[in-house]
Amino acid sequence: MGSHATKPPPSGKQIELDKSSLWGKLWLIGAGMAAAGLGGWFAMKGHDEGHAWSALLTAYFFAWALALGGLFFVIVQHLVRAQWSITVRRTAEHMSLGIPLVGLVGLLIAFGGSHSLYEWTHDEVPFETTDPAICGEEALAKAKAHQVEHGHGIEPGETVDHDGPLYKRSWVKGEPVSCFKLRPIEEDEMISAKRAYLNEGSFKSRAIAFYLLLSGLAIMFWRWSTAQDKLDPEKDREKILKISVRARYFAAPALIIFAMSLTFGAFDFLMSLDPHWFSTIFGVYIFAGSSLTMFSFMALILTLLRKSGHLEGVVTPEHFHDLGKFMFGFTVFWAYIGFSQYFLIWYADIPEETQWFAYRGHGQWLYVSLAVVFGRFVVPWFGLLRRGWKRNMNYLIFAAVFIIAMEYVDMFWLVQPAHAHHAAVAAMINLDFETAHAVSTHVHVGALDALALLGTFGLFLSAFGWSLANSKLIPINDPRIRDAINHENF
Amino acid sequence: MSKPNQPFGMLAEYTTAREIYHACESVRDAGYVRWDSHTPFPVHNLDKAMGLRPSPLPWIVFAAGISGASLGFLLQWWVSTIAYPIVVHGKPYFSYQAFVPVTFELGILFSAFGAVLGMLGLNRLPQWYHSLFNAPKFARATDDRFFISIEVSDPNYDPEKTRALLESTGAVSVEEVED
Repeated sequence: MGSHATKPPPSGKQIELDKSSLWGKLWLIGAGMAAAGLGGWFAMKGHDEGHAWSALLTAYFFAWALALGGLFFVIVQHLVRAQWSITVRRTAEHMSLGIPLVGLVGLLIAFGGSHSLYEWTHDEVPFETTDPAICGEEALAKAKAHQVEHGHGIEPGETVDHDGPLYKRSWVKGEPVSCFKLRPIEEDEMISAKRAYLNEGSFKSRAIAFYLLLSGLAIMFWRWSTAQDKLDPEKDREKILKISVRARYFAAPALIIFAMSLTFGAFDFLMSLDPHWFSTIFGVYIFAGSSLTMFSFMALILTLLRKSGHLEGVVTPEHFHDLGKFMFGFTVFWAYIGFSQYFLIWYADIPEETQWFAYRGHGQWLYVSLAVVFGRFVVPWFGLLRRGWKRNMNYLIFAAVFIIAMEYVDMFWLVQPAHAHHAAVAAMINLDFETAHAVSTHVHVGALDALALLGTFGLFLSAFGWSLANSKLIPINDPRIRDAINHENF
Repeated sequence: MSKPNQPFGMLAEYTTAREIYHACESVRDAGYVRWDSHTPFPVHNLDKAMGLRPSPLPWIVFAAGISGASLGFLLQWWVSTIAYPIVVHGKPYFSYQAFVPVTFELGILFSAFGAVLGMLGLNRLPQWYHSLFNAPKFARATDDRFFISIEVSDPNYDPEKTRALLESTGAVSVEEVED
């Protein structure tokens, strides 16, 4: 292979942190953020329960993406017996330790916020109808007046491109105005059909099961890897090898458990925000974003560690190049999945599917949707094309921060329009058209969003920082660590 | 085909990757520009030892890919709005969403063409004749030997000095090859 001498084994500042440095105190900073953020969130949540829980769910899936991504990286590197990644695997192990802590927010949402977030936990759900006998003449007259006022009024038989009391929907072309009413949940065919899966008992049990399974996997792989550090590379060679082989053996079932938990967790917590809507690719969409964010966060942490004088000669431009390639690759993968989801729904044009995109393309939400398309795909795609850029640490920091920020925007885009839509429908039931119009067209970001993000990301950071301060920077006794340090791209 | 007894260049033979790596560094530092190395397998970082500049191929691939994507998009726009407008599925003629897959695929296809043809062009391939094969031992470049060739057309080429340089780098044999 390489024709030059291999590097000496790393030591000192290359692989260890000074506990009194900022890195060593990261977990304290994270804990402070968590206490301030979640404390503030609890204090303020009474102002607007619906918005508060939506904000927490957004923040939760942002931090969850980082923690789950870390676990995914660890499992896959063990499974494929990857060599290049051993020096960076420890960073992913720090991240995966965020699962037990961040997951608590998920349990809080499942047990405290499900009534504020999920329509299917209610006894009565809204439905839309054009039947004057159900709506009443007054409601229809008001709805029609509102439609005319906002420029999307239509007469029966008229062929125009837009209509509907709230959103543009070609499928009710030429139909008269409609109204929203509540009806018992049993009368809703779609939700009734999903009842066996989508009910509070099984939702909560699954939330606990996912939490225990994923936390268990994260702690298991973390413990095995850090246990190798404490052994003697000469005397305990057998033991070290045994741990590596065991990790590889359990990586295969772990990957199945991970994929199932992530997919059904995404169905439960995010997709069921709109219980009529369904997309079989939704779990993959969450996974793609999560992996992309994880690679970016790893690149960010490793470049910052390098800049503060650590990992010199251990994590090299070769590793940054690889992480950059993954950031680029998963940007394309995310776009592929995101477009596939949109494309099939756009083509089929079935109302209960297109509605999900209809309210995301309405009013200011359209700008959030465009920000997701451009910020998650177009900009990073062009921005990560060149080889030299991916090998430049300063540039990579910028790209990583941008991509991580876009993960939050993506989660915001998944959660908050659903909340706005529900609020708008609730206002429509009360014939409060002005409120309905306002909440369905305006993006509202407030202190609750910031506090939830601060708190949940703080939880992740405290777990990450604790692991960072209490273990070596690389799995120093991994049997193949020397190969990873000397890794070269062609 | 070519005039006999005209020299093409100097060919040096090495037995290990380590030797050719350091030999390349010496040739690079001696300021040669028209020379090459030939190894039976990729040797890490040999491009750095040879002082090669990055290949212009990525720019060719990028240009080809962007052209392919634009062409694919334009074709669909022209066909479905001007040449043969037909309502499909009740959607507008210019349904750009439906154009994405073909745009993407043509971008990939042209990128691949750009990569393969660009690589062949930059390497001046295919070549039906190359002077280096006049040296019978050069066949081992695809087996177990490593070679450096320096061409006569190099401004620094001097039969004595070039031979001396190559011999000083631990070559097991150095010979002049006919054109």
